[in-house]
Amino acid sequence: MNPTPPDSYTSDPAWADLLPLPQDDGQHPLAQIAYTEEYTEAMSYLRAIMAKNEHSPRVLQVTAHIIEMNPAHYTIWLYRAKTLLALSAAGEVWLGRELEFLNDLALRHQKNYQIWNHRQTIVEAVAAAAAPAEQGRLVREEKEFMNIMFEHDGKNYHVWSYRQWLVRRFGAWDGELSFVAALLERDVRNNSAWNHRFFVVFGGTDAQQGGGEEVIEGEIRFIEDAVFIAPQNASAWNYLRGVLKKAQRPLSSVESMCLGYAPLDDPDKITSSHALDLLADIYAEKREEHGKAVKALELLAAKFDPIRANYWNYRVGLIKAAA
Amino acid sequence: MSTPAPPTLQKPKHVKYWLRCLRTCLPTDYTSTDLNRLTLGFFCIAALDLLGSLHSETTEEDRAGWISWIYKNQLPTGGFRGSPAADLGEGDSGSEWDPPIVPASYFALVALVSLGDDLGRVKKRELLELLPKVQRKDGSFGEWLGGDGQFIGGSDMRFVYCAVAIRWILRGREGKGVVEGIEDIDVEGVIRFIRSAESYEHGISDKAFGEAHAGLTYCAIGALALLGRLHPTSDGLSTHANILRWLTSRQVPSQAQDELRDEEYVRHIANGTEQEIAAGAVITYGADGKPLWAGFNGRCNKKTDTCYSFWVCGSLDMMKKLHLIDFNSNRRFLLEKTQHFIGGFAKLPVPGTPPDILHSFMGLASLALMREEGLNRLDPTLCISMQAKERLVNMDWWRDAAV
Repeated sequence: MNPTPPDSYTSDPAWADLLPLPQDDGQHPLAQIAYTEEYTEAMSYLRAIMAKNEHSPRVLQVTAHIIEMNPAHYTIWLYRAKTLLALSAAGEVWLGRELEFLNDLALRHQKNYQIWNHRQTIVEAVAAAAAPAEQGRLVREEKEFMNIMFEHDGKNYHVWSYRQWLVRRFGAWDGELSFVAALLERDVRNNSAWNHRFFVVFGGTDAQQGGGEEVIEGEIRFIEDAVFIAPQNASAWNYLRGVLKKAQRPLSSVESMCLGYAPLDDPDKITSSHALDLLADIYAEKREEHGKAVKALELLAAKFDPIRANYWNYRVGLIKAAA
Repeated sequence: MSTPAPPTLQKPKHVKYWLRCLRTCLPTDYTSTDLNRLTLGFFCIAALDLLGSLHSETTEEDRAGWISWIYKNQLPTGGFRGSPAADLGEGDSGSEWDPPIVPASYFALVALVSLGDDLGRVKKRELLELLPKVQRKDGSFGEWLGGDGQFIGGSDMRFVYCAVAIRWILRGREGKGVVEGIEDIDVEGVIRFIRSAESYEHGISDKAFGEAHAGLTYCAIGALALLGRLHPTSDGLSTHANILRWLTSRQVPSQAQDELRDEEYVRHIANGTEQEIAAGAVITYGADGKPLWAGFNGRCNKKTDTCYSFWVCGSLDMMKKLHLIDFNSNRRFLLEKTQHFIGGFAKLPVPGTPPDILHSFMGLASLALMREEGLNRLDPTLCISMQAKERLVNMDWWRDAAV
């Protein structure tokens, strides 16, 4: 589908009808780049064919060629998508091949996000033409490919964003919770995986969404296990705050858990600054416990998280001002 | 034992670095930023402005030339393209494949203001009219408008910030309009979108249920500031207390292993002995009991990176809470771990990482917010020098509009 680019567009008969459009950088250009000759020539032909708004197979050739050199060329992706959809409607290309092209590209350009926007367009088009059973296979294959991406980088923002879109678009919630649990098993500090857990538990439609007492209890047990393994893991403590808020439970409902990691009367046994922080919030809510809140914050400033001493002292100031 | 040299901003080297970026071709590696040349150009201009060298080290003729070049990227129909690489020739300007780009238009305006231009040649009406057209129903903005009226580009806070900044620059502080009778954007929609993207961690993400991210948080807070909705009693964020915890938590002490290359790091974590892993996690403390070096990460449990020293400090500065971070260790992180000996800053504290334009600007910008000696002050909201902002708000057309 992406024929090999010619050695030279100028001497290729398939491109002979186009007059290349060279780049006019003008006088006094800013941020001029030392382009390769290959890029300069291909871009001249891209501009020429874009100006004609042509949607033909050779568009796939020149766009693939340039994307390889500059995957962040944003208009080229849309131009390619439009061409693909037109050719697909005419029965001239099979869109499944585009996904293979994107797989290879995404693995080599991990930081690029245009690839994932484009992927969304193509998957929508493939799904629109697919029978329900084929849709299931499409979603399965998409998830399998994302797993390969996560092997390289379990925190790739674009891939996680795409995953949320896919899950919601196709109602593909099944297996997401165990998938995320497996990732957290591998790295309990993977904040992206925690975030996805929050999406899976609270982000679905009513039918899939938990939020009931049983679900909340399950989440709290999951957090307790994770904190036990790594008490100083901020991801788990942030998730705990998120769950409590969703469940409309007071922070004080986890006071005893926090005291397990931050016994205020025995500072040598404190193993988590995040537990101290949470305790400070719990005690700040009741005037008669302000002394304990201040103590937690002072321990944070002096010993357990001195890099944020200014912030902890600021919180002490807020409590004193409220008194 | 000799006393180590105090950390210093190598100002002459930075000036040289930026002049080199302006006067010679950037290396081929920058090809992947070819469509964002106005962005790169802005960083070069704004960096020299922060260094106080824009007017001493470049000539009147240079600056006039760069101003003309930026205007050359303005489309006849209004708005700017990101690069001459997108120019399809006279007959097709402003066509489907050479559209005005929202971020490019923002960077063009701030670069022009930094260069001392009065924006007299900006097609203000056309650019302002573009903004409501690229706003989606959910309040977010596209990157540009496709030929058939569809919104193009990711839907995230970067475009929200750029659109709102263009509006502020051209409409004036009160939003009353440089030009009468132009449809405004849906401001309440913007607020709703930002609120929907505040995650359970209370940083801002790309959309509802996305992961909190410091760069996107900066964009959201900047947009709120420019809309006059950042005040603690305003409704732009859940509460300032929540966001402050998340923002200040981004500052993390440097560990020995932060200086490993990616592949070495992976090997170290997977195959290191217990002693090696313990050595990798070592933090160096100063006499005051605080870590000597502490930069910022962009998400929870990620590594520090020069650019987040700006995204986080800029956000806190807009909230009037920059004093809550630890200045000294951020300064030392930048000056001793990522400042490069040829000038500029590298992205990571990994020895051998070359400087690049984005991170070199962000390093300077973070230092400027902390009032580093020898640097001009930076306006955290527009991301230009205070002097440049003063020039903008004192332009006749701006003052009149703001009445």
